[in-house]
Amino acid sequence: MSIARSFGLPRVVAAVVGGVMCGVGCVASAQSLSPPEAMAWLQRIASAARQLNYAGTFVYQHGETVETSRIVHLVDGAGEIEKLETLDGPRREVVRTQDIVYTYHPDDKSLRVERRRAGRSFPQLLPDQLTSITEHYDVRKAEVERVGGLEAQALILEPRDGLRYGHKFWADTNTGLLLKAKMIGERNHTMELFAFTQLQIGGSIPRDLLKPSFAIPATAPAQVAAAEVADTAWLIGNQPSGFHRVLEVRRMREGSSSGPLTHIVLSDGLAAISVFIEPVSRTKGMPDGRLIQQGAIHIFTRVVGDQRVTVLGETPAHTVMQIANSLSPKSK
Amino acid sequence: MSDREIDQQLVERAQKGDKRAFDMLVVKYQRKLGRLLSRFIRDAAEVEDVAQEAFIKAYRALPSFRGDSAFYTWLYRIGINTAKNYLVARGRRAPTSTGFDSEEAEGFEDAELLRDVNTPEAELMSKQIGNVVNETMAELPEELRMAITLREIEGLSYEDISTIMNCPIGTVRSRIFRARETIAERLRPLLGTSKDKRW
Amino acid sequence: MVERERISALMDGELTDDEFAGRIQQLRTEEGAEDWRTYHLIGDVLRGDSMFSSGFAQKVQAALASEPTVLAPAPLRKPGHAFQRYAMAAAASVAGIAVVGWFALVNHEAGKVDVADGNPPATVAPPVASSRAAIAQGDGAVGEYLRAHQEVSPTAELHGLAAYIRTVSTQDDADGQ
Repeated sequence: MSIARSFGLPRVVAAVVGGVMCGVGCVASAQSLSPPEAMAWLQRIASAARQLNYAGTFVYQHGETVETSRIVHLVDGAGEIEKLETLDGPRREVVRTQDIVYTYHPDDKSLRVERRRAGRSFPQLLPDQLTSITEHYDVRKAEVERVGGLEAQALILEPRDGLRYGHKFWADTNTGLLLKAKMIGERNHTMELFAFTQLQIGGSIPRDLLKPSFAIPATAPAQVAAAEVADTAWLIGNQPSGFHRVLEVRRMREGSSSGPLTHIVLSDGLAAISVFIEPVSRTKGMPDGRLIQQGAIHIFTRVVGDQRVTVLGETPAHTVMQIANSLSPKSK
Repeated sequence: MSDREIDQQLVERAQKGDKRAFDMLVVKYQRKLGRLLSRFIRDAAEVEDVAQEAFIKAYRALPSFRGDSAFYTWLYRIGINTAKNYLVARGRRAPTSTGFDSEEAEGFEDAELLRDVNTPEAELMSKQIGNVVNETMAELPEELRMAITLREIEGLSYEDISTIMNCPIGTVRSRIFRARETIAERLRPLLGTSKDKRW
Repeated sequence: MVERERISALMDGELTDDEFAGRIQQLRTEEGAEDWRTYHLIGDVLRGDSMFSSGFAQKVQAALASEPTVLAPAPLRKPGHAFQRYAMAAAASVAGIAVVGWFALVNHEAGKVDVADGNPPATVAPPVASSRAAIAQGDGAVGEYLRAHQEVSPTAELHGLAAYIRTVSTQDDADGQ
């Protein structure tokens, strides 16, 4: 955790150090970066979100909806701890430790305990593995702007094909922490936007802020086991380029004794696509051959034999449709 | 947006406390529900009372509506139950469940009963409205009349209508709108609807 | 009039996706509501539906006004029998805590735990239903899928699955491009 320590410097010190670094690259507008340069920036953004201590408020906007959340992220010897709270709408509190995620709903006093997996949230939008990103997105450096009172370097990730959406990231020039992120769809339309409105990086962030408002059940982690990874015996005949299977599990739908369903996850490093497969007989009421849009997510469902296939992800419609339309059971 | 999804949107707004969204659904389904209820309640005033009660019951029960079925199907069941209770309370024979619980009953038509529904006053108003609608329909240019007929009477989608009329969907949409608007223009004085009058 | 044309298309379920946003909002204006009413009346007349006195909707509206406003932000999904058995079994294994997992992995990886605070858990709302009311109602299975997807996706981790599901197309087996 030595890196975390150095990043965890009080804000003032970080500002001085960063100020020197900024002299080089802050002038240019929208200049294409070589893959190593791009990688360096992305790496910096990815590690800052994991290794820095920070506390702030951010807004999440999609469609006409704007939601505000508060985040506290601290790193210590035991690893990362993060607390995320909604400030409007239904109350929700998410506490993540190194491997467990607790989701608490104060309104009905319910708590959900899950093993931490690939799921990430702002400002941790970038995965550990960055290589595939530069393969499928052209990374360019754009202007330097102010975000949440801090100076930010803007980066544009333009997809190299129409299979995924573009992104624009604004990273704190001093620490590399992601201050703002925008997902850009067709016709330059903003699909969703995250932005800090208030943020403290480093310095003394009271540990009290992390304290959950619920009691963490001592017994809970014991029941949290690893996902059952399985070969689900389904082929994607026409897998969109750049998307790879990152997870393949069998899940149980609650309240159903009729057996598990298959969940396959594909990702190109930024966008995730989920494929769900279960017997048609268990998916009563699901529309057939239909495309649904939910914010940045497209959902497409169709029937293959006696199975219903549902594909959804933060991608253009034809990406999920391409997967759904080329799915078939592996021949016996 | 399909019809069902629009209803769903309105229901969700109503569930969040927006009563006007529910009013929209009342406007949309009042006559359909009225037609249903008039199959076994003859008196027009009674039909209205029962329909109103059904809508209020539906409103109260809104938190339990989860969208498992279409809104009208749900409302339909509430309407049937309200009518049953009403008839039982008055010592009249309630409709048998076999006769009316089936959704197929929706298609059931009984012109005989329908004619009995209206009070003289409502009858007059209906007649006037009917006359205006029919007269205006007759005066509409052929393509407008055809478009609105295919939509409202045949229940076809814009896409189907565009195929039948051999024109773009945008044109279908505009024709249906112009047909409605031409008729609405004539109806507005009769309905006494104006900007300052609440509906 | 563009607005009126949109209301006309809206009631036919033919509004394009781009136009939909805010359209229902438009219905809340006096003019929008009036057009909605008049256009529906025309359709009803053309189909020969019986009519109430023209003040019917108004009467219902007045009656509704005196009703307490209904609020249903968290529609509850009633657990089935199998579900209850599971919940009971799990509760037995974790003293004092009732597990009411909703969309769990086969091996019960994800469990929802009702915090024991002395109050009996009168209702066990699935977490998704409270903040994802629209989806849970609109399309149960889709809501569950979205919830599961959220665990593996960077976006929509905390929020994200809000108000609207929009149908983009209803074509069967629309092709991939």
